[in-house]
Amino acid sequence: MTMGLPAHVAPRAMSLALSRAAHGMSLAVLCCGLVVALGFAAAYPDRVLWPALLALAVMFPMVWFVQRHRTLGAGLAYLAIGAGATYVHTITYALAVPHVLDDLTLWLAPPKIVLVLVAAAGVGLGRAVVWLLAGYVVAEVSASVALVLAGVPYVFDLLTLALLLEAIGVCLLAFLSVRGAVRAHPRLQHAAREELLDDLRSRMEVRAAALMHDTILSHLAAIASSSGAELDDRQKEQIDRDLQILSGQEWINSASDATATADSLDRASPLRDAIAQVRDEGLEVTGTGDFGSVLRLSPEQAQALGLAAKQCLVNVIKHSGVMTAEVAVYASDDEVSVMIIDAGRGFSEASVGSDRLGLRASVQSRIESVGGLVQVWSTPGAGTSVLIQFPVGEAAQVPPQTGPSRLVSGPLPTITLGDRGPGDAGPAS
Amino acid sequence: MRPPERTRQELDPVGAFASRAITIGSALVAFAFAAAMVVSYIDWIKNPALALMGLLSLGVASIIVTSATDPYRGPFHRGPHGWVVALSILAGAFITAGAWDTDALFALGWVGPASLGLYSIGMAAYRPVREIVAYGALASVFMGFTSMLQAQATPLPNVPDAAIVGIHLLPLLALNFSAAAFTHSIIQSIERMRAEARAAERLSAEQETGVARSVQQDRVTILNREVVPFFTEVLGGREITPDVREHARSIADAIRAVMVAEVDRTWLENLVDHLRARARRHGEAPDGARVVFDDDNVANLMTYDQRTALRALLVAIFDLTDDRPQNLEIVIARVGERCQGFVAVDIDMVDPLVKSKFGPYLAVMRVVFRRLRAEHLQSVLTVRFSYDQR
Repeated sequence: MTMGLPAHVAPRAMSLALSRAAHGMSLAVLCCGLVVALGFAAAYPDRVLWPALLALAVMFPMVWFVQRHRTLGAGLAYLAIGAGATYVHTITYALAVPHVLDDLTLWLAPPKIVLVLVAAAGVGLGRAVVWLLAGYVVAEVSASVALVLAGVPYVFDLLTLALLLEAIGVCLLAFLSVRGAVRAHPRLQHAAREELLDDLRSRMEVRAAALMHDTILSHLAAIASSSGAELDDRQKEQIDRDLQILSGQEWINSASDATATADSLDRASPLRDAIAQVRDEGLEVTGTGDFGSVLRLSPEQAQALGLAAKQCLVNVIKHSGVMTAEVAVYASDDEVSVMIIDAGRGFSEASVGSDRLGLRASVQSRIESVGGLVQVWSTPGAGTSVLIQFPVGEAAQVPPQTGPSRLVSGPLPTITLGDRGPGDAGPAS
Repeated sequence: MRPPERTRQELDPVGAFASRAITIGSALVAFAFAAAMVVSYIDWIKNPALALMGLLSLGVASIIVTSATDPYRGPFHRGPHGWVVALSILAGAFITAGAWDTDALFALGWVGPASLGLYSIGMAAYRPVREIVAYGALASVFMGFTSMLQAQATPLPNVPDAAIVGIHLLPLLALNFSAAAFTHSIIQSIERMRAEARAAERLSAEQETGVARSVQQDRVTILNREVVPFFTEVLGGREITPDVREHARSIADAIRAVMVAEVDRTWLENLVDHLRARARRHGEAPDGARVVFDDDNVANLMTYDQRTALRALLVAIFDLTDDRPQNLEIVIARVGERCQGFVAVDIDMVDPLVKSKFGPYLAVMRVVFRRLRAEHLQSVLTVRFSYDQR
């Protein structure tokens, strides 16, 4: 997010911009001055007006030089050369076409305006105003001396004074605006930082909530629905291991650690492990499609996919009333999709209590926190399909989503084998 | 969403807002200059009605520049820019037509170009450099043509037409090119700063570890309360009786309730709670009134930039009302394919002060949200915005 120039850069950037503005204006004024001088030269071919053109032409490289070298020396050189050019320009007009200066001296203004707009070295309002005033004084003195020496009466030049006042006004307002802008920056920068921290915390909490759901709530539910007087050893071991994991910090860092160390082949493991674990619990899982495309996911995504897929398959065991499911993996250039399908009793969104967390915490939030998308199609009596999609390649540059969206979308759209791509036939493991 | 433009109002919204004094000043000076010129040459003007229409056109142009850059309104687009240029050309033509064939024509020929030049300075913060230059060049062609006609209709003695045209166009070209150069330089500086800003936006490893520890500690606290003692007993061989099963169910329900509440909360509710807690820390009784109305949790659909901008506005509201904003209400809802938001709060300040205090945040919001409208009526500041569902 761009919030503009930070406080430590703003005054320097403003000084540079004002200097560019001054020099931009100088170039435009010089062009107009050349048009005016050429007009007079064309109208009075027998008069010597070329020195005025030359004086203006000399000022082009002078403006370029002071723009490139914003130093005190360059500024002083600009004033010295500019004073000479203004003198030559003024005396040329005064000697060649003195009659046009009787009422109007506007034709003499261009080099004086360029001198006023010296905008040389230094940062800050004070320096800017000092250079403007110095340029104005040098310009007026040069022009006055030239007019006096040529014997032309001096007429006050309102245009150059107006420009001086305009330039001082703009500088004043510009530097005041910098102060105004800088005042709001700390709050915006703080908000941006807080937002980053909040986003990180929210992603970690999603991971924690999903893990809590998969472990503690699952064990508590198992105990609440158990029929025996004591837990079996395997269950005890699992509870003990999960408690240790939750009390430690490894679960929070595991994904990022994995990013650094995991071999790409390991990225398919979480999904394979999930399938293997539910097979142990008696679910018959058929794997179809291109499981190799899971390798294109990041380790963090692969891990989230494995845990989410396991939760989907556990849901099949718990709620579908059937003990068969299909896991289909298919991919395109910019997307990897995994679909978990069962032909069980299905459900409608309305029938799912608002206190049920499985799909939300363990599947949707978990997948969305690593940049994926979850869609569920289910109709009572017609099975359930959960589609997990991850953008890959350039499409993966989109930031992760953490917001809620409508999860259960009614009947499943027909998916034909042709949609799945050429390599979609291999087994899960 | 409209495509982003390479303008200062998009890249440096706070800076553009802060430079609005230049915009208003330029618009006022442009009109005042034109009025002063017309009044001072009124005796020469043959057709005052035309001169008046010219002034009216410049008045409308000044109003457009001032109102379209108002922090309560949307971004300043190409349309208003075009209108200001067209009205200035029209005004120049009207005023010179009113003084046609008189000695005042040369002096009044400056009104249109000088006014448009001043408007260019005022609009520079809001429009792209190319557009400023292109519109300025286009206006120069029209105004140069008008000036040439004037020079031929009422020539100045001994002065060539080209000199008159050159002097007439000088304020327009000088101010227009100056405005473009200024904006170009500021935009370059901002773009140079972007890479640095992006690096600063990343969190350090220490900060990430700190957040991770905090989240983990929260979970451990929840577990230690009931879950760990319960499982310790079960793992220790305690018989699973109906009471134990019931206890397991009740713990699960309690945890699930906490988790559901967490899942159902948005960043916005958390933020408002946090900000209201600041007043509580000052020893005041908590205000129980509901502030955030977001039944669909669509606040979570905002982008990072949108959240940051809204967060900064809310923090500013709390800061500037000593943590006690009166009647603060934030409503966010899905409307069709988009989400719409509404923030209302009592701000007992005069309008210019409200604009000055909240303008920078509204300027940022205007850039990141699809649409933004704000107003301050009867001491109530309301901000309406909309955004796409990601």
